[in-house]
Amino acid sequence: MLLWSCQDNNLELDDQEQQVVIEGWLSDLDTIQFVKISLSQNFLDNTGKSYIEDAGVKIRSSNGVTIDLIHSTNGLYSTQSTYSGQEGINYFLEVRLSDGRIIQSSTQKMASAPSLDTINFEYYERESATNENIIEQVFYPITQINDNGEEENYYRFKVYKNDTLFNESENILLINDKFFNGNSPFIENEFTSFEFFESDSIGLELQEITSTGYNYLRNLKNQTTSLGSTSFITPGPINGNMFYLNSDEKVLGYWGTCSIQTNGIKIIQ
Amino acid sequence: MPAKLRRILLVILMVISSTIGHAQSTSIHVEPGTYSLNQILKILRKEGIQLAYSSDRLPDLTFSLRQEYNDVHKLFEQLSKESDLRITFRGSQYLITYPSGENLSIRGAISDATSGEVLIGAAVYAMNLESGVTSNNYGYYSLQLPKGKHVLRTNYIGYETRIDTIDITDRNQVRNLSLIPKTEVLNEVIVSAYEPDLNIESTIPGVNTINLNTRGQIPYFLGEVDVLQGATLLPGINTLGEDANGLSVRGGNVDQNLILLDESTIYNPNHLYGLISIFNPEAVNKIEIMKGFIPASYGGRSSSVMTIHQKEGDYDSYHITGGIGIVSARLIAEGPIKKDVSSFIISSRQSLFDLTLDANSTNYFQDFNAKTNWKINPKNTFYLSGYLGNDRSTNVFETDRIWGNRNLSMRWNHLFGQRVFANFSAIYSQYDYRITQPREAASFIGQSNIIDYTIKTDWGFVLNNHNEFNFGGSTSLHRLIPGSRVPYDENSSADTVILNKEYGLEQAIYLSHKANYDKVKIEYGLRVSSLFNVGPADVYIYEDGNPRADENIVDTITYEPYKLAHSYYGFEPRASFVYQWAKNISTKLSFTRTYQYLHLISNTVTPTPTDIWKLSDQHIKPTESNHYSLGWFYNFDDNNYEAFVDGYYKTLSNLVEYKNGADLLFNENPETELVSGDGRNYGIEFFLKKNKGKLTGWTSYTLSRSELRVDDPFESINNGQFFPSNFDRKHDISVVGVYELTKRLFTSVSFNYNSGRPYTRPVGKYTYEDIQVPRFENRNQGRLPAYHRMDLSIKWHTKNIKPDGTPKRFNDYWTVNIYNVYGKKNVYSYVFEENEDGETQVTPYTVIDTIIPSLSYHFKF
Repeated sequence: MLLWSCQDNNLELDDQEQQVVIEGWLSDLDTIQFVKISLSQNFLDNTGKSYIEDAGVKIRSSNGVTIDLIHSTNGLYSTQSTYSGQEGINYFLEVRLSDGRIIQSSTQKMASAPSLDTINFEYYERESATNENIIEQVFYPITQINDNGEEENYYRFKVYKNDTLFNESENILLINDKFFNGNSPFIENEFTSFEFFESDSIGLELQEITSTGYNYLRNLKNQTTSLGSTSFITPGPINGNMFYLNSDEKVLGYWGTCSIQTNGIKIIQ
Repeated sequence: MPAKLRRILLVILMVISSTIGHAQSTSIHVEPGTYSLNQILKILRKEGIQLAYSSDRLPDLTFSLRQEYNDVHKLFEQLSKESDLRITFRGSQYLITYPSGENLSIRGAISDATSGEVLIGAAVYAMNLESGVTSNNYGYYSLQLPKGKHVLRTNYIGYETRIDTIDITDRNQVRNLSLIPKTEVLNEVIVSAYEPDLNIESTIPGVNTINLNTRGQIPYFLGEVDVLQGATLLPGINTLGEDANGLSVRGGNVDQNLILLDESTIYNPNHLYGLISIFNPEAVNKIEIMKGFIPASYGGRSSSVMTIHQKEGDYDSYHITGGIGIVSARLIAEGPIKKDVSSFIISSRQSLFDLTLDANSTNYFQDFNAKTNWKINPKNTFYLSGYLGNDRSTNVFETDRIWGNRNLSMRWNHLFGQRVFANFSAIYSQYDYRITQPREAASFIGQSNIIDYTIKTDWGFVLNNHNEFNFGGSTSLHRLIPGSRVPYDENSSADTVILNKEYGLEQAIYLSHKANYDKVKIEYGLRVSSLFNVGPADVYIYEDGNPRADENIVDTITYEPYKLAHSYYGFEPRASFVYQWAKNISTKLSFTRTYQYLHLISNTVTPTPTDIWKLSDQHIKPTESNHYSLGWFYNFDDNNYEAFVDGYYKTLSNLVEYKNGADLLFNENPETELVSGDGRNYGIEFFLKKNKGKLTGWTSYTLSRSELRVDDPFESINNGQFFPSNFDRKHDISVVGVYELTKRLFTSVSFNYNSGRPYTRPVGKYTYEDIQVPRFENRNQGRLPAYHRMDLSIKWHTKNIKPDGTPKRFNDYWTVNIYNVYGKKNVYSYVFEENEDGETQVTPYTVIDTIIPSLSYHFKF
């Protein structure tokens, strides 16, 4: 039949101009700070990423401090010495491209993350994926934090297993205090979607970030995890906080500030 | 209509009718002279002119013919000029009628002779006068007839035609008419107009009825008879794909359909995330979908009205009906409470296996229907019906989600005097979503719901057989809880967070007039609707000239309970015009304006059970829809075939759209995430259906577009240009055939093809924190591959006749369904991801990618 002979449409994806992508988080840890600058690609281009390696990159603060970041390799810019962001100070990023265009971020206020004093683990049991006769114990971390009831707080957790970060987009773990603002003494968090086993070490990093940073990561996660499922979020652009001072073009990515607390534990019953 | 104009029309129509109908010689020879009417008719008969008239009702008229007549049309023109005779050409003969003096009315209910259930849309027809009416939504009819004897024909699809000779003698005659079903069958679905030619005559173009009483059965997914799935085989009705909630009617969104179960609003018509509908096929007997013209008695949604009627229960004897398939087991009990006066029906359905595609959770559902009726006397009937349904999903961490509809409606039908029918209803509708999260330290119970309390009344006044007036009104109090979260127990570290409730009073009054003449039928009316947002409410005021955003809130106005916060009024004219070129051909032109005050807030491509409803308010205007349609309807081969071509154009304004990246979860001021848009949907539908013979079925083709535009000063989508909506399907073809192999063995096939729906394709990619991110810009600029699928069904009735020839009390049948016969892997969406080598790849995602056979069993005794 005629209809049956119709072939499925080939997926055609447009050729688009490359756009600048900026990635970086200024932390309050006394460490080398990084910013990464790359270029977007055509969707099916697997030839390798392009980077911008000749930009002038500065972090500026509301108290007049300017920190230069120097390019090392593959679009990675770093401070020449350790630097820690200061609580309550507003920072922004400035990037001068070699063609004269200037990119700036919105200002980001450095928060002060609550301490991550307690960390523990729990487990549940399930059939082993390889042998249904074996019941295995799957561990997951539990932690508690003190939330500041005076303000809205936005948290991000990074989870490490044996010092390796869970770095998939579904591992972006975001919590705000909309449902437990200021409850004392502790807010307990259970990270049931992270799987650990006996003798693994759990590493937790708590970041307190700004609301715009939180929304950027929320969108990033939604747009990269739900696509294709039966009830996916409508795909759309992920708006960051970077813009050109002298051009209407868009800048992709996000630069923000984060206050960090860390803790870890080894799973030994 | 002035007599002169009528006579001119008569001649024009007789010429047209003669051309369209069977050819008949019009040449005669009548000498000048004085003749009685009876004499003229005798002469014409001798001349070979075929005539139809009631000789006992022929008036005593005398005509003086001053010239010789050689053409019967000219003679009839002269006779009509000199008298009130009405002469029309019908089929192959001229019908001669004469209006008598006093008209009296006969009225009553039309019902099923075995079960006593009222029949909606059954035709009552005075054969000698060629005049008739159909029963209204409550099964009542009122017919005006001259004093004397008449032959009444009553018919309804699936029932034996009934002929009564009645003698109209007094003014106040109540006559209930019952019809005998043609065959004793269980529930299947067919799509049909109620009666032969009703699709030609009805003033509601674009109406489809899904009737549950016929012999064959179209194939269904997993064998579960499903009226909504059946509806998608009709022109202009679609879904986003398997496992997608709701229906799209003529390109509209799923929240634009008013779904009424015994007049009570259903807010989520699906179980199992869209796999099947909530309507237990054993409990409902008819679904009517109005997707073109919407009568003034309905309103509140922009695309369509779907009315679903629950069965009433047998007034005469007790029955148990049941069935079991892969999806569910069903049981129904019905019978008289007091024979011929009161009946009941209760039914229940329970899912058997977890059929959803989510491996991390178990999902099941159940529903319960009940209805009871009490015919107090011929003038008063009382109904009470209810529905309760639940879906439940539980995951390994004991997170429990329950959602479903709860509905209750009470109705009282009353006949006032000879010509006035009235219905009074009190209705309760509720949709709940509840999540319990007991495990986490911040354990909580979350809930959202919408509750409507409605009272309404509908009146019908039959002035005469040509003029009927309908009027009424309704008031609904909507109470919406957009979200509440409370701690699960005293150990929980969660806060209590309760978003402000919304209260809105939606009211409407309407008046419509239906004029019904031989060739012309008009229905027009006005509905005036309103919404009053009332306190308690906190209304955020945003700074002028800035986008609605938290940082731009300049004031908050608090309204005390019962204080009016905001109001909207809508004037909704409705008009439908039918010109009947011949008994079997008509043209229909209609216009419908509606205002929608309730919106489903969702930023996912397909709606989910968690999506909340939102009233129009200060920031969100009601959606206005203007719908124009023009169609040609044609039945032929003695109603064996029905055909229509129906074109439509619909504009929508103030559609609720959402910003890119909208956060709608527990949002106190969702207006900050919403923007307003316009829509335009247009298309043309072709439909051909075969009603009789061993092979029955239909085929339809729809060519259509559905487009949106969001040109908000602060948040434009696709640069403020029109773009295809999620429901834009250019081509849609359905073919359905049911073949009777033997009296007890049927096979059927359905085939559906439609253009792929739009999707948003990436224009590039970039990397952020080692995560590959597709870069999207404009919505819906890509197109999925076309969708097509064929299903088969075989139905086998066991013997229902005893060896001695008498019918068995126990009836049963089996059905075998094969879904997706050739295993088409229809693409539901694309997944954009990196493979293990770090290369970008595009993977088509398919919901159902294989052949799915199923077996089900049904019984009744």
